[in-house]
Amino acid sequence: MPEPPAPPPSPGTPFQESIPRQALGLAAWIGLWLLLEARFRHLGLNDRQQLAAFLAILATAGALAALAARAWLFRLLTSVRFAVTQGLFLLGSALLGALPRPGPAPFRSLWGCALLALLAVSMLAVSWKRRPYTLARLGFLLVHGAPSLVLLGVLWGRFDGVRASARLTPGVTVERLAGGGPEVLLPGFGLRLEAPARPPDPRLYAFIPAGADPAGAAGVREVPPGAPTALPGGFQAEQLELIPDAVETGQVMENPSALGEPALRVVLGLGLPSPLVGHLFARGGERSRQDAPGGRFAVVFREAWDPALLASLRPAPARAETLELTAQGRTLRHSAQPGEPWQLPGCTLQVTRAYPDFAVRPGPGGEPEAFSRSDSPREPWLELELAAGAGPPRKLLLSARQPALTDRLNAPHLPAGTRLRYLREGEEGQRRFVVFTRADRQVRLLEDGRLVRTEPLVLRRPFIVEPGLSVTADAILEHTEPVFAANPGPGPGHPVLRVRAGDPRNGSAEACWLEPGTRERPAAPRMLLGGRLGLVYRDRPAGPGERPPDLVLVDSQGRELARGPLAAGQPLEYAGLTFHPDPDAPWGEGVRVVREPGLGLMAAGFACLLAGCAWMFYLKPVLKRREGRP
Amino acid sequence: MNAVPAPAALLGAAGFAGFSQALLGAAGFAGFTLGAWLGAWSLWAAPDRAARLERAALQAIRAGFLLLGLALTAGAAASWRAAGRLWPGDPRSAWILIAWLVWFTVLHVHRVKAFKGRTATIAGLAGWVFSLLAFLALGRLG
Repeated sequence: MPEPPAPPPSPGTPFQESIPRQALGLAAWIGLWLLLEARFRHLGLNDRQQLAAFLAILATAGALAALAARAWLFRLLTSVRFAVTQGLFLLGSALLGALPRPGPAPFRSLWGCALLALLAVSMLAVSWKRRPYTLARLGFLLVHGAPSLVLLGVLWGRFDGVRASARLTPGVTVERLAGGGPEVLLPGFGLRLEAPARPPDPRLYAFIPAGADPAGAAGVREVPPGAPTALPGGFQAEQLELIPDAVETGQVMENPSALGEPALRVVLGLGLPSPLVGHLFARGGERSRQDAPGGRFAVVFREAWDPALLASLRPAPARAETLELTAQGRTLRHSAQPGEPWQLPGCTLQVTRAYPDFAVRPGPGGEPEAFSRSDSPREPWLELELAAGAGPPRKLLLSARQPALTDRLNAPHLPAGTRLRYLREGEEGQRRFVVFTRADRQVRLLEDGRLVRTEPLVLRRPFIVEPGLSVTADAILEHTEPVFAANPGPGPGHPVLRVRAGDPRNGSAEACWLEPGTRERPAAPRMLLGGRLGLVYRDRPAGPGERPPDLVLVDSQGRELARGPLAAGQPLEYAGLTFHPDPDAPWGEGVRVVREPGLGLMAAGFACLLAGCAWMFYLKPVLKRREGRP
Repeated sequence: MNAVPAPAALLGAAGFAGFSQALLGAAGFAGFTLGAWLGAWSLWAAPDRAARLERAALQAIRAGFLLLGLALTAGAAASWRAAGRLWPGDPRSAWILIAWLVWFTVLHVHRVKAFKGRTATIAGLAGWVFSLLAFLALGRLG
């Protein structure tokens, strides 16, 4: 048992009796922690490191203060006036938390924790002062012990908790989530959204980014078909043309009012009977590269030159070769090695032959015959047999480099909505690249990861890779828009919508195509009118009475681990994590992943507080009367 | 991604706990209102009646404080169930927390010997006016 504190000195010191002075002291205490928190962030400390530093500083400061002025400190902490001052500061924090502002909630910030810690210590000190304890004082003890429990819960949650969120696109597995700090990686599984089977019903939504609406009425509005819809802030938006089942023709058009990314039109194989004209997109991932016919070099278009390209644009072997099957929103993977049959429900897939450098020539009977021009993996293809039922096996051809061509070739042999791909992860077979850069208008020739030559980018002048081998930049399109046409073939519908947004006050207007999103390119909101208005084309979220989409947890092999509706009030729990719909995500497509280990302590703290209040207010007077006290 | 309001489906998903929060919050504030006005009456009453009115006002404030504490807990439970957050972040919950902290302070003012009586009663009235203003201001924010 520690020694009881020394009796307070008489008379009281001004600080302990003065609420304004105490308020100044508390302001300094909060200011100190604000500075320390900024410093911790500047040093790059993560949540746990910040918490360790917080506890170390708090313990040191407490120990030093107790050694230097134990009686003075005890008198301050047990002063009712100090409780009033702290109440006013907590009130200020609550007001701050109620205002829309960036940063964590006050009670999660270090300064909020420091304020709560001071309150908890004060309450414990007051409880100590009220010894000896009687039954009548149980309520008092519960109330004054409660902040310590809440504080412990908050600190534990900060130390070992998870609060992260992600936007979900149906069918796409997400393994990384955005948290308050670095990305959060889910432990060995991914999240996928499975929309219920219902006819596609995409809708157009408009929103005004925060701060751009002078009337302060920013929010999401649906833009129905028909006449232009008036939006908050004086804007208008309308649907122009809907192609319910569209195919992108691979062409782009220049449209000064479109916000599409810049593209480079190049001509490959000049002098050949059929030169290839293609568009490369500066920020288009796969779409920023085109391999020349014959595979002797590749052309890349980038926004700016980055020396890191020397490391990425060089030959590299494949880390793994896999087959990827996507059907009904599920993705399964299997080795792509010949002789390893893949048993699937109702069918078997088997790789029968691999072509590292695929080409076709006339066979002995005149029929086309596949062969490999070399052993170098320039154009790797696989030949597979799909055996289902009693019929003869069907032959499939998969190209690692041309996934879209693979889809078209195999569509007649696979069930609708099923896709089979050949993946060679991490592989780069090309050794020679011509890199066009938009910012500095240069062309660079790279060979085996070395910069060989640099020339200015001059339109319509061939860049000679080697004698007889060239690429010509034909045009740079600053504002591009894809060209769509109605899809004549079978398959799932792919709607695209042409929309226009305008500001009648200054007569400005912009038009663009919107897609609801695909696996390769999840749709992002399109910002128009200089970023003042956003438009997004999404499938309609589940309405009241409709089945919400399922949230599915899958392991790395695509096996389902857990499943539940992504709906408010129906959280899914797995591996100590709770999955909720994210209320901050528009269109209800976000998931919020939470682990709150301190929840029990915080709940216990609140329960003690309420039970203690009830005891103090209503039971204590009865008990006192029984004890014969006033 | 720019911040946009939550979908209506989530806003209306508070369920029974959210309904309880609204009900308890209203009952709690009714207690404060009664306490504040009984206190105001005591300022002009005769000394013996003023003491009785002050005691009644304190009882009403205590009941309101307890009910608002329950409302806060119900709000946290509803928010946790709906969206995995302990703090709902909506104007109603913010106002309940603010009112609760106001009356936490007022209840402690009642315990300071130098403030007992008239000063504590005036503090209670000021707290009531402040809670009301906060309610109106947060209503505008929401």
